[in-house]
Amino acid sequence: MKQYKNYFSGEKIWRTICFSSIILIIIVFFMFIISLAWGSARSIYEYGINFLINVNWDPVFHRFGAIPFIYGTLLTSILALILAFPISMGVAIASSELLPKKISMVLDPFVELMAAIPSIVYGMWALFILAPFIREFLGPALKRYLGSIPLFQGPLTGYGYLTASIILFIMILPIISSLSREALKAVPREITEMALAIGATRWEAIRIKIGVAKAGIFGAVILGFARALGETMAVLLVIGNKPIVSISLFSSGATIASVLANEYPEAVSDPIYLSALNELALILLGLSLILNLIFLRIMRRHIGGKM
Amino acid sequence: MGYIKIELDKVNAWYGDNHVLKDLSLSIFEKSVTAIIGPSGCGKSTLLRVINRLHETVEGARVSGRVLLDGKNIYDDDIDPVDIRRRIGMIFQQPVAFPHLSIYDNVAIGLKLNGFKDKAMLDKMVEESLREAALWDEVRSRLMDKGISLSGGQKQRLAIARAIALKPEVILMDEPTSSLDPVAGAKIEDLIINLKRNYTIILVTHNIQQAARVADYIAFLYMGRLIEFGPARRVLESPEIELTEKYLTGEFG
Repeated sequence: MKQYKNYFSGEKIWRTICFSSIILIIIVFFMFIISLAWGSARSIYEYGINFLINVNWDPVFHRFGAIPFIYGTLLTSILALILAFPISMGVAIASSELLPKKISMVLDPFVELMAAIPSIVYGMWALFILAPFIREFLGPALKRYLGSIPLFQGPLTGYGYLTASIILFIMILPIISSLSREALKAVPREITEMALAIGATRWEAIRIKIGVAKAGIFGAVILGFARALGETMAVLLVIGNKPIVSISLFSSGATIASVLANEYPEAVSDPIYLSALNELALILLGLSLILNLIFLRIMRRHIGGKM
Repeated sequence: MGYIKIELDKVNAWYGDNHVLKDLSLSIFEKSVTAIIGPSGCGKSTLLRVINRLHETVEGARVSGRVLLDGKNIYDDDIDPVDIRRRIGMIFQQPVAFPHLSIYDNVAIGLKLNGFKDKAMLDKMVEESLREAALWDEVRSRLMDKGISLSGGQKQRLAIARAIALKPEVILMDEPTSSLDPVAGAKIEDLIINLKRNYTIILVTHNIQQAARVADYIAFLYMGRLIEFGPARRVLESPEIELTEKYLTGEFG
């Protein structure tokens, strides 16, 4: 009888609070999707599949094509990832394998601190330091030595895909590094010792360890990529904000996130324009959701997996 | 007595400030099973790890003294520890398979690291090793499954197959049955008795009955020192040192 009494007094209240909290989260999540879908309805109805394949974005004449932004988003994110991955692996391996514990304990927090820098601070730095540097030094050098490749041709303003990609690369570096490092550290010492015991060299043992940790490392890459896709402020400041598709990395461009932030103020008075932006937001949300789901699946399997 | 395969000469080992092995000298005879017994923390595992130079891979670990393998000190400057570990295999306490590799690759990995590429040759050596480790019949139909799908006892025999694939001269075993059930443990013991025809085996165990069942020689360690060494039966039935007798009769341990 006593248990019943507890259940009806204290426990029930706590249960109710906990259940309502999780229901709240689910409601907020679906509210997002529904309101975005509702906001996009007119654009979806009006332009249909054209929205996804049209290269032109001209709000004045109500021509709305998402290709320049999807292109800009994927180009800058993938480039950032290509730059960030090898360096992140270097950081992760140095910290978990090569450096003495005392030193890595001092250095590791720096990686975490880099992840804590607000994106507007990255953006300001990119605007005032990185963009001029690319315009004056890196860009001309690339033009001179790799100018035969179309990627490095065309006018150089310092604001464009390349600058955006480099700042994204710097921003996702700490996430991929620290998650990869933790994935490597989670590999039991037995694995390394087993590898050494069959005559693996130190590097061969590290390679085996990377093999064991590869699910976690892949998860780190996915999360870094998702961050690059959605990053707004830093990109907005340095990408040049032109709705065009160009093969040249020096060219100005735009990403989904940057065009949303950039054009919302103008769109509020034009319902179809606003609806088109909503649809862009829906596309970005979809991309991020898919990536995060992949990440969750991998991590769950990784953590659930036994040696 | 037979040919001395390994001779330890005044070996000392440390982890940081912790002096784990103290002036330890011991002879290991070829193609026999030498059991190292003693209470927890007496340095049994460290002794094994000194013999295949795994000890030094831990931060802050040091060794002094000589370990002679076929009369040659493995701590000489001209010796590559990687070569030593290829000649001296090791089985660990925890049955662990490389989780990202198939059963086949769990055995083949050592061969591949040593430059074996010929597929037919690898197939043959993997099968031989799995047969010798008494695991072939249980895994032959699922060689491409992941190694983690095996039971603890199977993983331990897989580890033995991985070690013997390299045709080592010596196999070190660090309490290989301590985390297995009695049936799986008995299979490993049978295997050890079979393996000593071809290999020199050093077995660390906390289980005196196990030492009695499989060992030809027994070394009793206490607080980093070798207290008594001799033929297994002699040590077990009439220990010369009082401390050994106390340990064997369960007065401490």
